[in-house]
Amino acid sequence: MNAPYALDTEQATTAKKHRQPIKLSSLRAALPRQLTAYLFLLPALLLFALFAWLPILSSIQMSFQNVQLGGTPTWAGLDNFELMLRDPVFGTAWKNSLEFASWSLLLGYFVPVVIAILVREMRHGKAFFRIVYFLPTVVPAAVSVIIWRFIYDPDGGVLNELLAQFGIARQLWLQDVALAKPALVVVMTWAGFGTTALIYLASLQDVSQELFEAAELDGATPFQRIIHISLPHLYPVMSLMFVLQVIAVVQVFTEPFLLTNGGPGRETLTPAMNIYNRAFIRMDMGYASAWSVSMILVLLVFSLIYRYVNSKLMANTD
Amino acid sequence: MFRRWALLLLAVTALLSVQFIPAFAQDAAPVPEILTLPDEIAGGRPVTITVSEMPSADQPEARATWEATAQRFMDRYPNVTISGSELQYDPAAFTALIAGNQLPTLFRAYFTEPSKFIAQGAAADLTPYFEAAGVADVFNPAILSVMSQDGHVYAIPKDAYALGLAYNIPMLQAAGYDAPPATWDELVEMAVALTDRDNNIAGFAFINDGSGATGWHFTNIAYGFGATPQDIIRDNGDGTYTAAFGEGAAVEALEFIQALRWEHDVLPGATLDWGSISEALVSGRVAMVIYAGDQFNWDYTQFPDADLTQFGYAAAPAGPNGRITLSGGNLWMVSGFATPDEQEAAAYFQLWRQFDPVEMQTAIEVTTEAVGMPTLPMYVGEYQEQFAAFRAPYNKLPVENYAPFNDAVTGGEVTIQTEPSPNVQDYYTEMGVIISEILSVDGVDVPTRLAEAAQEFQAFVLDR
Repeated sequence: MNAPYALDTEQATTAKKHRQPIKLSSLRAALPRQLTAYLFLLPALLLFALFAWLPILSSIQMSFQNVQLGGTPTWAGLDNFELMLRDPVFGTAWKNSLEFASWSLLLGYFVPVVIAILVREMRHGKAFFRIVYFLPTVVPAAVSVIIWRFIYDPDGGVLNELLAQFGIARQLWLQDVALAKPALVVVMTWAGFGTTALIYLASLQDVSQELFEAAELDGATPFQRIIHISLPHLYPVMSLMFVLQVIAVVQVFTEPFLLTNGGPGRETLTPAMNIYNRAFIRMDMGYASAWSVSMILVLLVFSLIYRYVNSKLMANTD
Repeated sequence: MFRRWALLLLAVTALLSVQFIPAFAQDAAPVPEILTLPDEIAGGRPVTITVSEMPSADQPEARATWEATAQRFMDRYPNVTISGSELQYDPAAFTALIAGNQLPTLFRAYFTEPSKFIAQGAAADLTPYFEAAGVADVFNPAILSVMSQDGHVYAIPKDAYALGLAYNIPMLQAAGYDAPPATWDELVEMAVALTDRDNNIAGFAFINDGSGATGWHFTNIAYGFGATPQDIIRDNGDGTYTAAFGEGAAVEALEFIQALRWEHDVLPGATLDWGSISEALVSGRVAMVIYAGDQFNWDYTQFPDADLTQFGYAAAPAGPNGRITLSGGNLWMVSGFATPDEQEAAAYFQLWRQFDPVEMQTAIEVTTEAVGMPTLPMYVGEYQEQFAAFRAPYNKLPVENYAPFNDAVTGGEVTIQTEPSPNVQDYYTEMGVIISEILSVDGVDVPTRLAEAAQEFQAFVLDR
């Protein structure tokens, strides 16, 4: 897992020295100097407080209440949570989330890695391909969904017409229980791999060109260069992206909402979609908030993993 | 004496002529006149109202017409200021607007919504304005009852529809049929003959995207199979309700849908929502669809190159109890959170633009929307007759193609049923999920699955 650039033990020791606990007195002494910086931070902090932290706290409060819009909320204790655990949709939605995460790792995780390595290995047209691979990212989700609807259309859609050329029967891509999830993961991967590939590519730019040249002089084939230089260098970032991808997939909403509406049946219904349905279709805000809290807990676990991986990565970088 | 009478007659004739010049100029029946407006609104105090559904800026003509209408009202009542909002009705978005006390003063909603808004105090009581304006008796009482509670009216009906069957006339003729199906069994037989998989043509379709709209179309089929609103959600009479759709006609209707998909294979493969089902019909990808009559307006405005004379419209096919169909519609509500002055201004603005003869005349002459849709009569008695006669010369749709529907409705051949209540949107959403499952998984045990769904609906919606 160690990246070649993290072997400087002296630097690592210095970094550890920097992480000594900060004393309160030194913080107080530094405050007047840093006041301007804190003032610059203030607008962002206020906006975060108003649009992120406050709703999260309200949602936790509402999860213990019966909330009637326009009325006064009443205390419900753990009723919402008890109901949530009895709800057959609870298991279905989280199972779907898990399956989405598995499919996204299977179908989408390595795509940006491969793209980044290929672009890095290119002698010509690097900038062109960087843009080409990034283009889907700038397409708004609603527009990409329309494009994919045409592609997946079972009656004369692009994909089925293409398969028909090879004598393959028409598939109900979004209506078939077995195909709906991977079909959606392909859409998500298409929309998201550009950004991830850029992150990997940026990481690869850190590798000294001399290392590649030395390998070439020693007779390493492109494949050997990838295996022995590029990939080991990418491992730390890959582990970070792994956690980030799981966090993103757990929250998936747009694609199933716009392409399948959670169907067929509840096959692509995700916790985020169910929260939306309960809150804004059924207007059961308290119950939807209980779901939100369950989602916060799951995301918290993954965020802790993310922080752990990130700190490992930073330690290596130092 | 004779001269005085003659002069009087002349004066009356002249007055009437001035009143009806635009109407006669169009060779139309006179514009019906019934509205009584106050001399002053809100006691002359300055009042500002927001009105939803203003056409967006990408429709410059419609937008200009809307603004000109608002300006005429503001000229008439200088203390009133109308601020337009492009907001369209959406149950989810309006939930947030109610919570944030951000409702427009005057807004459009569906027939299914009044009870929800009334319960939250979000709909103003409009009864006094109905009475003062003299329009309380012209509306179809059945329609008005949808938006009334305890003798008070909370909305102004805009339009009403009954679900029926739209069909592609040349396709039916090519398959040897000169009339739409009269029964659900006949529909199956015709759908089988009309389905052509090689050319991606489905014989029959309904909204099948698994959303609430799917449940809405399903309920029409369930009504056709003999269900009543009480067989869907039963009012126990003591303030409690029972989810009753887990048995009886709803099960039969769902088994019918299951057979259409897995036994007869006449449904489209693609998921169709409200908009795309129109596209599928107009582009010839489906031969027959469950359709609301006002959806022909969507066809007219969204597919200007489509030849709408190719499409007919009939009442829903007959089931064991005859032709029974689901009705619905749109209405205007005034925010219950607005001040009394704002409520008064908003109510009179809507009544004025709906009933003022000059406004009616102007609106029908400049409208970019369809006229002649096969919808339900909104009014009763003489006013309805005058209203229909006034609009007839402006028809833009092939109304003769809608005779099977219009004749069946006016001939009393169709039983119109309202949507189930309460929590109808929740019920529709629940059914949307079940139908999506039935359509994608072969061999689902329908009675068991529907009974489970009813229990779930009882626990998570009706008992909440």
